[in-house]
Amino acid sequence: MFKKYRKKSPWILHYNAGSCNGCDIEILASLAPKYDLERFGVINTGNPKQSDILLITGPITKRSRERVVEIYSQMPEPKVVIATGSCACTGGVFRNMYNVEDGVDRYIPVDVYVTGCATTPEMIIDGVVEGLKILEKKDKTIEKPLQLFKNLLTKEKETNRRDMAGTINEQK
Amino acid sequence: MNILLVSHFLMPLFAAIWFLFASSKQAKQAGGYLFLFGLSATSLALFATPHDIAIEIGALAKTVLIILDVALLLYFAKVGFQAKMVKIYALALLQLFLYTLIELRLPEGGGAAFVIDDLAKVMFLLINMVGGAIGLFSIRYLEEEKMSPRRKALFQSYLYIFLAVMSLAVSANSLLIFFLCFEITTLFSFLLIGFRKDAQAKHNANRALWMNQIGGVAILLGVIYSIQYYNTLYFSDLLALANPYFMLPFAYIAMAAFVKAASMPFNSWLLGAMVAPTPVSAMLHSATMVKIAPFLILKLSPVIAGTVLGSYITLIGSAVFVVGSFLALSKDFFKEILGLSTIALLGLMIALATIESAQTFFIVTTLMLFHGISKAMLFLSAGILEKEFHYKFVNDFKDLFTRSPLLLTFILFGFASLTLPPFGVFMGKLMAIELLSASILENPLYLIALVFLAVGSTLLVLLYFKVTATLIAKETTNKEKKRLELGFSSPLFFLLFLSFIALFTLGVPLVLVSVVAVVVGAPFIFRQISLSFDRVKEYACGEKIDFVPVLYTFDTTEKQKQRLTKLFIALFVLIPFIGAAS
Amino acid sequence: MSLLLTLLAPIFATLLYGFERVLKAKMQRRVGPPMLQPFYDMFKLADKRVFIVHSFHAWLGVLHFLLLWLSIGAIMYGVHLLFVIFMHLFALITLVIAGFSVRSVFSHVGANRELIALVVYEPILILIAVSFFLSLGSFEISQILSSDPLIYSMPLGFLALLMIIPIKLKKSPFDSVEAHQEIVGGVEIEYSGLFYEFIYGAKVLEYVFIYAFVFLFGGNNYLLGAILVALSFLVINLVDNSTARVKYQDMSRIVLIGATLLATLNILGVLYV
Repeated sequence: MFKKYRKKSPWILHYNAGSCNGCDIEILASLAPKYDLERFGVINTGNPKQSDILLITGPITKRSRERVVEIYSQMPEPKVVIATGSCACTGGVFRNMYNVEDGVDRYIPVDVYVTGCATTPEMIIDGVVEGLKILEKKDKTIEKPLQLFKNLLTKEKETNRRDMAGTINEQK
Repeated sequence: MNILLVSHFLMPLFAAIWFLFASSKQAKQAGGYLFLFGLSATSLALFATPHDIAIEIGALAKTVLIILDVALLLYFAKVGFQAKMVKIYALALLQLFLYTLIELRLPEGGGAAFVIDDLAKVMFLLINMVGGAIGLFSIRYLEEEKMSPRRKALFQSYLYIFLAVMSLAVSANSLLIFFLCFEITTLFSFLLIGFRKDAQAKHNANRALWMNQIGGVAILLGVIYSIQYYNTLYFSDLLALANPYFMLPFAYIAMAAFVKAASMPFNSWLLGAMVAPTPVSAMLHSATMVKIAPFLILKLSPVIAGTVLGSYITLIGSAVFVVGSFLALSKDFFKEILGLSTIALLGLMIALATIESAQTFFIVTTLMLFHGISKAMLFLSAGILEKEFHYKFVNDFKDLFTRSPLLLTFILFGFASLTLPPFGVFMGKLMAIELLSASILENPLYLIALVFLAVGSTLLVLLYFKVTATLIAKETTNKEKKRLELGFSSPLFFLLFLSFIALFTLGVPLVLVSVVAVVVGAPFIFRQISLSFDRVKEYACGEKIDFVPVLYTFDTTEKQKQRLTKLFIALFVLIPFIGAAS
Repeated sequence: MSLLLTLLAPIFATLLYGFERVLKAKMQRRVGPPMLQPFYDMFKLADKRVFIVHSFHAWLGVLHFLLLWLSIGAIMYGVHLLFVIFMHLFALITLVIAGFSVRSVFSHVGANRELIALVVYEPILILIAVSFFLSLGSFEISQILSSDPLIYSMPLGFLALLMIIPIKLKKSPFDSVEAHQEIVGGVEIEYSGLFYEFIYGAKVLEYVFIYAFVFLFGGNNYLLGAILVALSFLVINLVDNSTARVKYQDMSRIVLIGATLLATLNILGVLYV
């Protein structure tokens, strides 16, 4: 019933997984008065529990991967992940370096890839609009991270996702 | 009637003897319950009697009183000499000197030694019901204490004698008998504070002794001036004869009240009482001792209300309220937080008691009653925390939510009843705001008191609810629950019940609302209601650290504290001058 | 009438909030979201998967909303002004307890700041209520609304109220309680989906609460009251757009000293001028 309102109020969470800040500046620029994303109802919440779209920048450094998964698992479904910038898509110039993980999609499912180094506000807006289309089609089943998924406890009616995101040490 | 009175005054003494000789656990427990209900019954019966009761005593009793007085003061002097503390024996000897002076020029004409008026009846309720609950609690508490059985019995009987003395003090009509009771409460607080007999306990007990003796000196000076100006020894005559040009006796008696209330320059004696076993703190803070202060001011209220002295006392009282609440923000020792908030609230009661209005009596007694009940509840909880969980500092309370939900409920109820609608102390404060706003029209000085009241009461909200931060943060790991034993929990349940019943005086809807709030609300806190919603982890920027809440404090520097102390000493010393000037 | 106003309060509040977002956008020369944006947000939130930390925390959020609604109902029914203020206090305490009941850093920081903000503005509200009492002889809101406009006799009280509105509505310069990205919304951080909707609702109800307070200054002249509300609404948003956040220590110092002084002078003014 409320499905059509999803695209009218997409709240954005922005996470920097080791980016050079280039894309972050562009994201903030697109949220600022000049591009005025708020006219579509977009708010930069900064809180995964209240957001619908995860804009993620940077090539996922080894330091940040656990946090990315943790934050991802704290976002309520339906949710959309947008990899913003070349690094987030593929690792970009940092690809194959010893300390990065070459793109977000190794850890969490990505819906939209926005390329560019750094990407531009226009592309980000396009990406968000693209993401909204996907968001509208999604249902509310739990989406799991691709790696570092620990467990999901379901007893009776309630689902416990406290331990959804695991740590690297636990995997070994 | 006489049987009722005699049984009312003798029952605590009988209880004291009972506990001195009862050896088995069952006998003690039975005694605790018996005396709680007995004392409640007699004080309720007395409360229900419509008229005042006056009692006269014979010449023999008067001689006995003189002997008691002299013996007591000599004992204080002896304690002072033993401890080599000049303050104690100098004050004791000074009192002895003043007392002989009074006895030499005793005025002609007699009067009733005791008058049980409305105020005394309300005080009986407070003293005996709350005090009885504390007595019951201490039976179980003492089992954990490392003392010989004889000393335990002694401790228990001291508590009950304390109650008897308080009952006498609030019904005394003769100033000299009141003085004697005042000094005996000083004696028992000295004995109880020093009960553990370590260096700290002795030091604090001595401090309580000399500070309270200042109150004794003030009362004696008040008696001397009342003989000089009004040629009488009796409260009833003083109140009837009072002349707004001779306020000096009342000023001195008010000074004694400030000492007993542990108002600012004297706050250290009440805070020092923390070293004693917890029932002592509970007793001093809720039912007895400090409640003498608002009682005394309320008793003098018909005379001093509306005078310059009265508004001056209101000013000091409300300043104590604000400063006490503020200083409490810097503490993390649970009992100390409670103690400073007691001092603050006593300041408020004193401040309100001197306002000229038909409402004054009702508001102040409401505050006293509900404050007594809530504080007793909180102190008893503090006692359980110490004995059962070995927690003393607020920062230790972290796992209380899972370990003892029941105890947490009592603590939260205590906090809520001191600050929030629809509970008692809050209603008192609400009425106080109305009262003060109405009195501003007559005397704009009350504006200061009103601002202090508004700021102080929100500071108390901050104080109590910042403490809940560590109490209520729910741990996600499951820890073992600890059941409260009946010996611990039954006095608390009794007090809870009492605070509901007492709300009837304020209106039936309030009772209903508060009962629903507690009975429905409390289980609601702790029982996980199964909802078909996802349980998710707390947000911490993706970090996986466990967050442990700690209490934060607002510190006052030593210099500020000294300045405040100096200010309050100055304010205190000014009382008789204001009294003389008016 | 009172019942209707009470029932409609959340809807009206949401509209007001939507209008404010538009106004703010216009002030920044943006297009801004549509007027009905808060409703869209609400509908969307209803469609999300619901996350809770534990049930107590979730229910307290609902309770907070209901109590706030109740206190607004009390205003609409024209009861004792102090009751209204303290019912509002109670509502906020439930939120604070909710904030403390989860083991979350930001929630605790937010709840602590909420408490400090409470200490700052509660005395001002009480003092303003008392100055109403002193000029009318009654705390009843219905009495205030049937008397002559009070703004002329107590302009300082109005200024004091104006000073605390940004704290209540979490606007610059006194928005350190929520402090958007700094502590991620404070107490509301652990709410999501359906339960966040109640917090959202409570947040917009605060608008009705505080502007109803402003409205009281108009007395029986409802038009004047409405003008005062509109004026203060404009001023608050202008200040919000043109100032930076101050630290909560500074906030409490500025407001506690400044506004308390103003409110006290206001009472003196009512008594002697």
